[in-house]
Amino acid sequence: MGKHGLDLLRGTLDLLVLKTLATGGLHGYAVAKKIQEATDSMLTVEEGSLYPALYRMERRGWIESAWTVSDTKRRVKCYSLTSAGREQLDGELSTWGEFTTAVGKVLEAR
Amino acid sequence: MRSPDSMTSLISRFRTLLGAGRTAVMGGRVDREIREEMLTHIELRARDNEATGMSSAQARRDAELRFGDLDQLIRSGREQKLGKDPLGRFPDRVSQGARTHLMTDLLRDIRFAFRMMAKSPGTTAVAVVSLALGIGFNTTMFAVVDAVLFKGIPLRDPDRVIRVAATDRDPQFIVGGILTSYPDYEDIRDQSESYSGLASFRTEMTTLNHQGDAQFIFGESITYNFFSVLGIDPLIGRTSTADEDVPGNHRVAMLSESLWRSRFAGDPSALGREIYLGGKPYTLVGVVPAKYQGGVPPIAVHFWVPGPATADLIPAAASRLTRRTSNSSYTVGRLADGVSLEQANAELAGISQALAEEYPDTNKDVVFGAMSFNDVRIDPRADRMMLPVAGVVMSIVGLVLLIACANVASMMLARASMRRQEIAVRQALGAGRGRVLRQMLTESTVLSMIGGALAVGVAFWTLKALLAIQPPIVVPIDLAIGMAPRVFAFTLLLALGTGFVFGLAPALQTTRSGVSGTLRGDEVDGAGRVRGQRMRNLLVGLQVAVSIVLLVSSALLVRSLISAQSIDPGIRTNSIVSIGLGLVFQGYNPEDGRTLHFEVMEKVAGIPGVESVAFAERLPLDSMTVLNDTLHLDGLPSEEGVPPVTVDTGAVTPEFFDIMGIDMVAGRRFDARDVDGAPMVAIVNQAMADKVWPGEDPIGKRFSRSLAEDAPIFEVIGVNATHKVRTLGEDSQPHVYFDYRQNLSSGLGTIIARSQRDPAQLLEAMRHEVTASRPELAIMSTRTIQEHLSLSLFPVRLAAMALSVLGMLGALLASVGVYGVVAFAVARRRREIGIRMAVGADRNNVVRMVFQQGMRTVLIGGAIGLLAALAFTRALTSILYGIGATDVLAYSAGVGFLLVVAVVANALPAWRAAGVNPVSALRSD
Repeated sequence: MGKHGLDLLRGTLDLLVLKTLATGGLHGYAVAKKIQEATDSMLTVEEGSLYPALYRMERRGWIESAWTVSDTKRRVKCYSLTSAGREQLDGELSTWGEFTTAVGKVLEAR
Repeated sequence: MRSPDSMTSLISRFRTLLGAGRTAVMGGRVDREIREEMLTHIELRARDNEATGMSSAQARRDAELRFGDLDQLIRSGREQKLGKDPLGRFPDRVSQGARTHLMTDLLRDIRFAFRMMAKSPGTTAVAVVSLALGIGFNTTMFAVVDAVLFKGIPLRDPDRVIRVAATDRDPQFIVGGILTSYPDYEDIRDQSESYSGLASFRTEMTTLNHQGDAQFIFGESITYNFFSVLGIDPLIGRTSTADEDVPGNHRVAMLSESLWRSRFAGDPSALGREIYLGGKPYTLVGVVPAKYQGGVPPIAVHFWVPGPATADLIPAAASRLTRRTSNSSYTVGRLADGVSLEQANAELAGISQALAEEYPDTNKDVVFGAMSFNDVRIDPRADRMMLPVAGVVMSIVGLVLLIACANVASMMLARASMRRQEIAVRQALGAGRGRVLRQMLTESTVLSMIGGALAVGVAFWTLKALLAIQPPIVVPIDLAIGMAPRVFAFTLLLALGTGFVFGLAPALQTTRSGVSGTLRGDEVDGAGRVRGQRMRNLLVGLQVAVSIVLLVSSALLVRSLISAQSIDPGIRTNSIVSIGLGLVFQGYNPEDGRTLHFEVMEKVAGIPGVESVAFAERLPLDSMTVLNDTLHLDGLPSEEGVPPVTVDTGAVTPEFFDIMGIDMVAGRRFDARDVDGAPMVAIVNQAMADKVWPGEDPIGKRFSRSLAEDAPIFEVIGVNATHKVRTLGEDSQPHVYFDYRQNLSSGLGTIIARSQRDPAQLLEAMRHEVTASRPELAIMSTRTIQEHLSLSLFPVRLAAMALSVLGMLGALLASVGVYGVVAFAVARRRREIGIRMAVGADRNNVVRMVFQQGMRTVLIGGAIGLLAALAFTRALTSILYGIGATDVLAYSAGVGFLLVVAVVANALPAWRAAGVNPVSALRSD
């Protein structure tokens, strides 16, 4: 696992995907690529986790999908956030904030 | 995880193709959509990869590798989409293509198992080797037990083949209940109508002389119908005929296939040639196929001769064919068509009664019965004795396998909890618990099958080593023990069984815990224990306990061997060599045997450097020969005088006492007066004098060796200092010596010589003297007195050796277990340790904490083991010399050894724990 530097923290994949889709619809590969670029390649989304996560969230109604044609004239499946997804994102963002604050406190404790 | 590796790549590419084909056939819009989506992804990734400078093949492979198992992903994707059983409580997929999935799942699981094993080669190697040794030892012991107790003889229609035996005879003898006398056999044969054939056979031992080389071999003397009753056809040639059962016509022989191949190179023209058995010529008429190796397993027999030949082979026992008291024949029969075992038994009851009336002296109360041939192995009573012995032996090697299994289960648990995350994800993604269980069981089974395959090699090797150990028996025994198909079947079953058992517990445990907790990353429960640790601790405790039992037992035996060295046998233990001829098995009658013995003694006395020569019918501490007599004091029946005493006896020549260094306490030794025809004399030992004539002067006391009218009366002329008779551990044992010149011997016996010469050279010279004058003679044994004495400790040494090997192996495996558990606990608790160190715990504290937790398990297991050892070692009391079963030193040694190993196994990971870097430990897991 060491090859990709940091592994994704548990449970954060959903959060990252939701956040990435918040700015507009994207196909699967673009989601992965965007996350990678946004973190200067420190975080890599594994394909084996990405698609199950996408399908799961779709089933839960957080995101929806449609077949479209991409810029490079390719038939791709595009995912975008639903309103339920937006709520979910807000909730997870605040949980994440609380979590990182707590961890920060432990690490700074002397 | 994603390390590019060409094999994986090939497999994945192949699988992509395969998967595409399959999906096309099976259809499914959802699957097609998912596949398209993912293939697009792969293409996009490959294009981007190429942009970074990879070759196009490289780029493609990298993109594919990232998806890993595409089919699996598609399937779980479909399940995600359709929301099928998201909690995964029940096996998924019941309807469409279930069988196809089962097969492909299995293949995939097996491949996955290999990949997992390749990822941690060290752990895998330890597990496989543990299993190989554990299963291998069990296979070896099973091969032995199977050959002795269970392997039947291949017969035609085995259900119809029976044995006839006196069902109520000889209660105090271990072996013999299954034997009948030859006259009884003849009467039953002539009076019964239940059998299509009733045959008789007797186990024989003699010498085979072939091209100037004489060797002792086992064989059987048989009636002509023996092989047709058993349903065994000769490989080549014929079996003996009814004509040849008549004395005088009986000089024909059949040989075993193995002997025919080794001595005659499997040449069919050997038929018709003369072979020499017990010094007499027989015509070879047939070869018996290797599937039949004798009626008394597991001793392989190599020749068959007609019944009357028994008188040639052992002249002293010629009366075996005519005496109704000589129970020396096995009677076997084949039930006639339509006759049941019950009918045969009813008929036998009638015949028994008729015989009892006709021969009341011998047959009163004797009831013959029939039993299925293969229900009896050696003898019903011996079989019953062997079963518990086999049970003990099998359970000891079983314990070692248990230790090995505990190790592997422990490793599987560790590996499983390492993969808890992966498994939880799979479950969350809809893989049923059954599916995950199956995958984990496949892994453990693959591991155990590899172990089982290696175990076959281990078993071959240990069996070879085991069979190379010759017991100190009069003749080299040829045991028909090998890796039979059923032994392989046993190994396979054992491997499958162990794989299932040690795979199931970890699998159940891993899949049981809730999905959510694991996904959150809870590795430690509320009480600070690492998950799965309790079961692993239990296993380690068990290993430690079992190892202690094995180690203490072996330490006891080793201590016993050492203390046996300091027991004074009461005889000289140096500068003596012995040569045994076993004349009774070479066709000699007692008179001719005695003449030959004296002839050989004269020759040996002429060898330069030989100071003195003597004959002994049985040497002190000969553990395989028991000779005794019932002595009637004053020659009177017990009702009218002193009750008879049964004591060990033996005939010797006068020089025996001098050579053996046995002092006289009173009276005189045998000397020139005590020749044949002179008054019969005897020398008793101090123990005999004390027991039979306490407070009286034994010199001049008289007794006879039988109550027959003409039985000679012996007079005691001397008392010798008591020496050990049967075993080193015995208390004073009464014993009586007779003079060989006045008495015939049993036909056994050795010639001993005292000399300061190099024993090996001297024995060679003696061997040469014998073969030069009598080339037809086989020599049964040549030994120094030290070798002879060490043979008396053979059972203890064998047991000590076996238990030591098993004990050390057990301790080693247990230490691997201890190490594994502690190291794993440390790895799992890195975060906790990191926090502890971050908040100020120093290295020593951490080391102490880890060490103490590991040692607690060891100590609890050790205490239990100690109690178990106290119970188990009581069974060893009878073979311990000079120490009790609770010998403190042995216990300390056994426990101490294990503790040292455990401390090391504990300390290594504990020290490593101290090396945890708090920062990196907190950052990731």
